[in-house]
Amino acid sequence: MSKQSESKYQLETRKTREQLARRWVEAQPSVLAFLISMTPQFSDAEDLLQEVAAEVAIRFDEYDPTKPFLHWALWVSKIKIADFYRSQKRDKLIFAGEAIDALAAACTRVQDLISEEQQALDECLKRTVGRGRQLLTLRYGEDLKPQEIAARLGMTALSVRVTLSRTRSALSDCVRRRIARANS
Amino acid sequence: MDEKEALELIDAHLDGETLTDVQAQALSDWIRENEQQADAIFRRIFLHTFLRRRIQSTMLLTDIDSAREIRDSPSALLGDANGDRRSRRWMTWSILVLAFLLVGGLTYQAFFGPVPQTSRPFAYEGFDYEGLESEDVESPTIGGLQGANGGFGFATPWIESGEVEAVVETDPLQHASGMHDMRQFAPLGYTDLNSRTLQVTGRQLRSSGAGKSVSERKLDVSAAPESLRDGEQLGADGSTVWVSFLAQSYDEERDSRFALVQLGSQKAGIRIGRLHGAPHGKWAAAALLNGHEVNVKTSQRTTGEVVFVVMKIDFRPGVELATIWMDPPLRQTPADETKTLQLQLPDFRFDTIYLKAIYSTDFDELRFGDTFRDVAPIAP
Repeated sequence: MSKQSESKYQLETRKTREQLARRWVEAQPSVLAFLISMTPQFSDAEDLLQEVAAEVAIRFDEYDPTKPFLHWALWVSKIKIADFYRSQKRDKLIFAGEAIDALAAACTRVQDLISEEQQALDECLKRTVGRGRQLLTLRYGEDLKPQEIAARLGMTALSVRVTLSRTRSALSDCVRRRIARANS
Repeated sequence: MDEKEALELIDAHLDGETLTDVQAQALSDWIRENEQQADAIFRRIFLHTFLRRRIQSTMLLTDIDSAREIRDSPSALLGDANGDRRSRRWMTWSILVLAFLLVGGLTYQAFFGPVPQTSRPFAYEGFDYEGLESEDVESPTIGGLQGANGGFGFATPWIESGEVEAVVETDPLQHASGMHDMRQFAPLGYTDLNSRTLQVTGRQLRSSGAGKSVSERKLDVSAAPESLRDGEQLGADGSTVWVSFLAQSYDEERDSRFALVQLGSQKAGIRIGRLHGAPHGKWAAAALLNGHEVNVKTSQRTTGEVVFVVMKIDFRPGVELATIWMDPPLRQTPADETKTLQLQLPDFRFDTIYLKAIYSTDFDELRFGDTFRDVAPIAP
C-alpha cells in the first residue's frame, strides 16, 4: 500500500471509529435500559453493557450506516443476552420472542424522548420527600431489595413494594406534567 | 390487565422478585398488545435505569438518617403533592411573574446563550509528544515519558521511577490490548449530552499494563494565581483549585490493580482513578493518609468507559473538601448537588502530579485552574 493510500485508509478508520463512539454515547442509555429489562440485576446489566460495547466495536464494520444504530445495537444486545443466560445458567428469561421484539421496538421509539424526560426527571427527583425518597435511596443508592429494605425499616415487604411503585408512578406523572407544561 | 397492574408487575420484576409463569405470560401479552403499552413499560424500565444511575452517582438522596425521621403521610411522595402546597399557592403566584422573568431569561441563557470560551488553565499537559516506536507497548522499559517537557505550567520535565514506563499512545485504534479493549473506539474525548465537546489535542498517555509505572511532574507554582499559593505549594486556605483529566482503562476487571492520578504526598493528599482500595472496576477517589487510601468513595462508572473527571478542591483551615464530577455538562460550572463524589481530605498542599499504574490505562488533557471553565474548555 502506498503511503498516500495508507494515510487515507487510516483517516477513514479514524472517522469510522469516531462515528462509532458518537453513536454509542447516544445509544448507551437505551441499550442499558433494554438490558435491565432482560436481566434485572443492575450489576449483571452493567457487565453485559460492557460486553455489548466491546461486541459493537468489534462488529462495527458490519453495521449498515443507512439504518438506525440503536436498532443494530439492540440486535447485538439480544445475542449477548442469550449468551449470558446460556453461560450463567441463570433463571429463565422472563421475556421471550415477540415480547423482546416489542420492547426493542419501544426502546427505539422512546429513545428520542429520553433526553427531554431525563431533564424533567432530574427536577422531579429533587422534589421527592419523606418515605418515598427514603425508599428510593435504599433501593437504588444502596441496591437493597424490597425484602431487605423492609427488614431494615421494620416495614412489611408488601408495603415497601407498594410505596416504591407509587413513588415511581408519582415521578412519571410529574415528568408528564412538566413536559406538557413546557410544550404548552 | 390494566396499566397500573402491568407497571406493578414490571416493578416487581425489576426489583428482583420472581414472577410466576402466569404473571410473566400476562405481562408479555400486555406488552405485545399494542405500541402504547410497550412504550409505557419501556418508559418504566428506563425510569429504573435513570434512578439507579442518578441516585448512585449524585448522592442526591443519601440523607437517609434525616429521611428516616420524617413522618409523612403515605401519599406524600413528591413535594408537590403536599397539602401545604395549597396554603402556599398565593406565594407561588406572587413570585411567578418575577420567576418567569428571571428564570426564563436565565434558562434561555443557560441552554441557548453564548458559552463563555475563556479558559486559562495555569497548567496543561496534552501529552502531544512523539509516540513510542517499540513493539512492546505493554511493558516498555525505555521510550516513555522520561524527560518529556511539553505543555505549560510545569517546573520540571516528567520523571519516570517505576519498573516500566508509561508511554505516549499515538493511535489507540491500532493498539488495542485485546478484543475487549474499548480504547479502540476512539482517542480519548468527551462530548456532553448537549453535544458540547471538550477541547482535546492529539495523543494520550498510556500507563503500564504489566509492572508498575510511576510518572511524576512538578508544577510551576509561580504560574498559578497568587491566591492559590501557600508558600512554595498550592492550596492556600480559602482557595479553590480545579483539576480535570480524561481517563479510560483497558477494561473494568474487578481487582485491586490500580491506575490513578495523585496530588499531594504519600502522607496526605488525594487519589482518583482505579484504586487499590476500591477493587470494583469502578472509578473512585480516596484520601491519602500516611500511605493508605482512606475515606474511599466509589462511583458507578466502570473503568472500561471513558470518563471526564472534573475535581474542585476547597482548601480550608484543617480538613479539605474534594468535590468530583464525572462527565458534567460543559455549559457552565456544575452545581454541587450534581456531584458524582465528595470526600473530605486531610490537610494538605501540593506541587506535583503523580500518575501511578499497574493496569493499562490512558490519561489525557490534564488541566489545573482556578475556575471550572479553565479546566473544561469547549472546542470551537
